[in-house]
Amino acid sequence: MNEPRIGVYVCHCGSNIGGVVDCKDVAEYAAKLPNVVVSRDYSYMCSDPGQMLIKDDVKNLNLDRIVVASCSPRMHEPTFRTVVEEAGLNPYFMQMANIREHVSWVTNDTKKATEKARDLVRAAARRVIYQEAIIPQEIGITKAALVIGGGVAGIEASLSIAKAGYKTYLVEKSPTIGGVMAQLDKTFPTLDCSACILTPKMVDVAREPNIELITNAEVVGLEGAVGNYTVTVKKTPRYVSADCSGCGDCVSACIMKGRINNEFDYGLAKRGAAYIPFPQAVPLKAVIDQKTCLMLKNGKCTQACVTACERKCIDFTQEAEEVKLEVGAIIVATGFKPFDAKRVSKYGYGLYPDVIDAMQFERLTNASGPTGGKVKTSKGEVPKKVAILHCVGSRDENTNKYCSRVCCMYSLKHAHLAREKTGAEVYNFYMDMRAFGKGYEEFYNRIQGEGVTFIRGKVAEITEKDGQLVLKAEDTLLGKNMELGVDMVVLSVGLEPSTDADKLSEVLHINRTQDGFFMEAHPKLNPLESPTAGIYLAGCAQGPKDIPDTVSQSRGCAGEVIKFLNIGKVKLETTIVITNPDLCKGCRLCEKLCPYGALEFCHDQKIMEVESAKCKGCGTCAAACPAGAIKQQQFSADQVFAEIEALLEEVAAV
Amino acid sequence: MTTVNKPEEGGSGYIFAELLAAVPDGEKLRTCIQCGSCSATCQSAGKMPVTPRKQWRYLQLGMEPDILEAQNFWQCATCALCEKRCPRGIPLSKLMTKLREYYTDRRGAPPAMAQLQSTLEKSRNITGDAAANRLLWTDNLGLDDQQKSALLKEQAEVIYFTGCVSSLFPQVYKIPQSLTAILQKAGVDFTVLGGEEWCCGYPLYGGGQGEEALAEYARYNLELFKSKGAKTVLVSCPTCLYVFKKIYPKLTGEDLGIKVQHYSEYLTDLLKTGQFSFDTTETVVTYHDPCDLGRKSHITEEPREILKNLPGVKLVEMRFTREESKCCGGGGNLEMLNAELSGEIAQNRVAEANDTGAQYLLTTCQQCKRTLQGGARRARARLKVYDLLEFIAERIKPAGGEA
Repeated sequence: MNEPRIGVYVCHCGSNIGGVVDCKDVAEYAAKLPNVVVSRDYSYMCSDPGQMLIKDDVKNLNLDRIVVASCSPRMHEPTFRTVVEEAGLNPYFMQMANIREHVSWVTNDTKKATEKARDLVRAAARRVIYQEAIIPQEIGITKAALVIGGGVAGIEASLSIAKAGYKTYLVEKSPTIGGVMAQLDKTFPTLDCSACILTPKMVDVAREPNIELITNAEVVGLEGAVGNYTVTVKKTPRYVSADCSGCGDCVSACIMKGRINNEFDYGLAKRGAAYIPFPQAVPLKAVIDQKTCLMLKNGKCTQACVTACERKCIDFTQEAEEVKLEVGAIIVATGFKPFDAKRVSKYGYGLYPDVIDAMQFERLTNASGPTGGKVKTSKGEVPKKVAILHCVGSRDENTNKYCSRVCCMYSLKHAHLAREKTGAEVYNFYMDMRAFGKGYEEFYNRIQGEGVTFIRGKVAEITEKDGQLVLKAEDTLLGKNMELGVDMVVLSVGLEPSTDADKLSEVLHINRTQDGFFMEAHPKLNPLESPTAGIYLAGCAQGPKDIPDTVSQSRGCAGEVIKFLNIGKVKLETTIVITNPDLCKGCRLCEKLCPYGALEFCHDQKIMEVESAKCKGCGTCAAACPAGAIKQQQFSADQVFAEIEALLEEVAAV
Repeated sequence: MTTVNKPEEGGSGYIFAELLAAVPDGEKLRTCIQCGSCSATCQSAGKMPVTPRKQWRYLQLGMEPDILEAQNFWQCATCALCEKRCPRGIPLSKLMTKLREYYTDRRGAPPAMAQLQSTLEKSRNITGDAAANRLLWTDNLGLDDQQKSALLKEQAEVIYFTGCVSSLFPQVYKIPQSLTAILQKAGVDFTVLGGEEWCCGYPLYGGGQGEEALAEYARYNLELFKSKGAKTVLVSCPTCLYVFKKIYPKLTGEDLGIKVQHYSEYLTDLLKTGQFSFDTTETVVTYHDPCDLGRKSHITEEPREILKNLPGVKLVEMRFTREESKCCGGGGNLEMLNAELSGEIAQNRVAEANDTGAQYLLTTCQQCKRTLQGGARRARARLKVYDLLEFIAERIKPAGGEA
């Protein structure tokens, strides 16, 4: 091998690094290191002129190894690899030294920072000598997608992908798609009927030949990697065969009819054990609730449903089953769960029947809801005074610290509906009004004009006195405490991660942010993808958002998936291991240790072989191999030891 | 017009930077969103010249003269419900007490607090009684001298720290009388401290003297505990509990080295042992959580557990319970600072208890009992206000009686 010719490039990152580290000094220091032919510092190495600097040097000075001392490799390693590649070298002859996150951002001490930057550059310049050319393997992918969750986010994403010509599996936990949007009455700020704009989309899903809809089902397992995922889906039996026409005869016959809280109406109406979630459900088929059906629970019932069903669809013998789906990419659109207002006992939710939450109010005002759209108190009277409390379960250290982003706007909508449907005096108690979206401020303005009274203050508690609900708050704009008696209180509850977000995050190996919602790969520049390649996040699963934002994000995710499926192949990780058949003794220790099942014993030659697509590059096998027959690319023993030795040189000198 | 200090004049919230830093999480005050939840929660707000929220705004802006003029903090019962409900998690109650200290340092203590301070310095208790009077509650127990002296041991497993109010206010003598009776019956090796006991020191802290004023009380009492070779200190006063567990360790810089328990924690298991038989008369009770026990020490279930295990007793809850419980009006030296307000707050709580239809209003604090009993009397409520100890002791059947 010829003597390596290294170029070192120290980036100031404006004042991010340059404000603390003496970059000029580091560059001058690097120039004296062995094999370093050229060393420069520059304000922004990632900029076009910065990149040109490297390319020109490679050409003019015949460089064959590059060290860039700048930020974390997370963002710009791909950038500089491309630069090196464009200059005609294998991109893996480039090594980064992180002197921003690891140095300048953690101290203000220029002397120490500069010393550490020198150390890191010295280590990188030694390591890079041992780096090898790598040509990443490419493999084909499964041209199908999985969408988890059948709310508006999942529906939009599925339709987009399917219409682009790709097979799409839509897995929904409940017996119907539609999600929370199907339960809403109107949507802000336009006051469109929610169901009217959603149900046609639901029907499209049912009709779309490229969509395979799997309801009553949950994702319970995931194997493989981006491009080639194998997903295990557990289907809960419906106890009604696919032949069901949705006629509803079993629903009317069920002897439990009217005895079970209907989740669709948030407890405001009852259903039976055999039921159809709502008239526009997709698929429009009956379902039998395992938990409440007497036949399924106790094995004893008159089975009136069986008698009633002319098509003989009721089948109590159905069992749960697991199916495997092969897909290239996944979109998680599992939505949210409304905050449980019982957790804020001071408001008496669950104690006073006329303290209701926002979802119950949606059902009350909905023309197809349990009251036919009539807003009445528990005594059946039209309320004369209604209070709407913002920020219940949001912006509160006792519950959720974050803003749920939709409550201000739906509270305005509720105020409007309450005025319109009852003529009641309406009082909105708020802390700050957040009307940031298109047309939102105008909506706020309109609702103010409709005579809704806005009181800036958080309600401290609700009690009952003489048949009225009494609210205590400070009108903070007056600086005076007040008590207000009303007939109905609507709690504008916030949005929380869905109940099974925890479970799903384990199954899919995707992280969650502190608020419990799924974490995006980058909050600004990659908000659609999760940190796991090939898994995307749409709608409220990623964080509270309104319908326009949800639809935008869903279609964005669908676009990413379509792009990926269209490319049709994927580069494998380069950090995977390779085995040396001459050294391998076939002891099979590595096989036992590998968490991914990527190592297979070849019986003919009595040695191990790596299945590259399965290897995640964790390095466990490479460290354990007693024969030193396994090498992890980019982390070979000589590379790592060279780096450590160089790092410790100055320490040893002290 | 009030003048807001501007940052460039060294004013603004920076005036109070030191004060905020001195209270754990005190700097969170800067995050106050002025929602007014504290004002609407506070039962003293009506007696404050400005609402609590507004006072916090003054603090944020460094409007010191306005704060010192309003003197909101002397109306505070330190019940800390505002703190519990604050959406920003600001330690409002502790800041209120800190403002008392701030005021006292600059303008001197209000007469009632100055009086209290000198009483404590002289007598080491809150009434100014002679130390020996701490045992007057043993007089009408029908004990002979020998039995009385058996309550005072040189060494014991358990110390019952009686506290000033229970020792020196005849209205609540029944509390130490009941607890000692129960402990004796259970054969617990315990002692009371009698004249040796000093006040825990809380009234000084609550009175604006700062936590440091408690240092000599901490040293003295902890030394006394050690000298008895005890493993456990029992208290019937939730405030003593709070002071021992939350303030003393800060002053001594170390762990107490001894277990401190409220009697409700200690008795939960002891009463289940089967050595007691109880009256089974059907009785409906409601339970008031003392602020220092429930909200501040998170002991809410033990008293309920005890009640659940008393045969014939049915517990009905008030609208606001556990850590959301309303104040009795007796905290934060408020009784001494504004007796009328203290009484009003007590009456509010009694009204809440009355709504439950219970025969008894039980609590686990001698101060709550005193204020609530006063409130019940003024409201002419047909409620018996008892400490849980008295209630238990009354229901225990005498030994050898019918089984």
